Amino acid sequence: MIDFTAIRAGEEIVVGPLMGMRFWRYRLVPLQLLSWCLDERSWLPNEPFEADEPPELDTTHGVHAYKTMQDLLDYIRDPQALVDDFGLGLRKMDGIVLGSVALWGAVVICENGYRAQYARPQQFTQAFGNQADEVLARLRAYFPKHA
Amino acid sequence: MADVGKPERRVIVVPEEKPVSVPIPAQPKPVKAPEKEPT
Repeated sequence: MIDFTAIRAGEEIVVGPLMGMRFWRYRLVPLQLLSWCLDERSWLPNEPFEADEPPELDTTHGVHAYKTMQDLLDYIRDPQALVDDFGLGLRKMDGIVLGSVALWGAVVICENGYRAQYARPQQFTQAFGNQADEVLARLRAYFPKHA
Repeated sequence: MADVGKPERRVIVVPEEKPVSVPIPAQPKPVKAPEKEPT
């Protein structure tokens, strides 16, 4: 999966994965987990989510995640307001879910978070939107935890 | 998604492999050389 031939001289190799915090959009029928950006690819269980392009220092590519839940909450500020403002608009979602994500492959470490080549949800902690409690339970069952 | 701040460095993260237990095969019993037939 990792292309070791792409490792550059002097690049640090870390035994991972790294853990980050992020949020996703969800849709209820059928249940779908989607990135916040307008990417329509679903995140699937047992299948790593791969960024469109490996992250580089001078691009914005990669799966984005924050270092801590506080960093994430500082960015979101008001999760319910995000749902109310964007739910029926361009992002076409029933709500958002917050959680942790494992990150690996090429990773750009940033001031407040990471941009990674590969990611897999680890834990869902909170959901906001339609049937939020039910969605949280369904997502926890749908995505097995990978230790 | 979001602005995660100024990029600092690029690393390669290799997922840690789960330890795998490998069964050790039983030692083969020494094969006894056939006794030489008396001539």
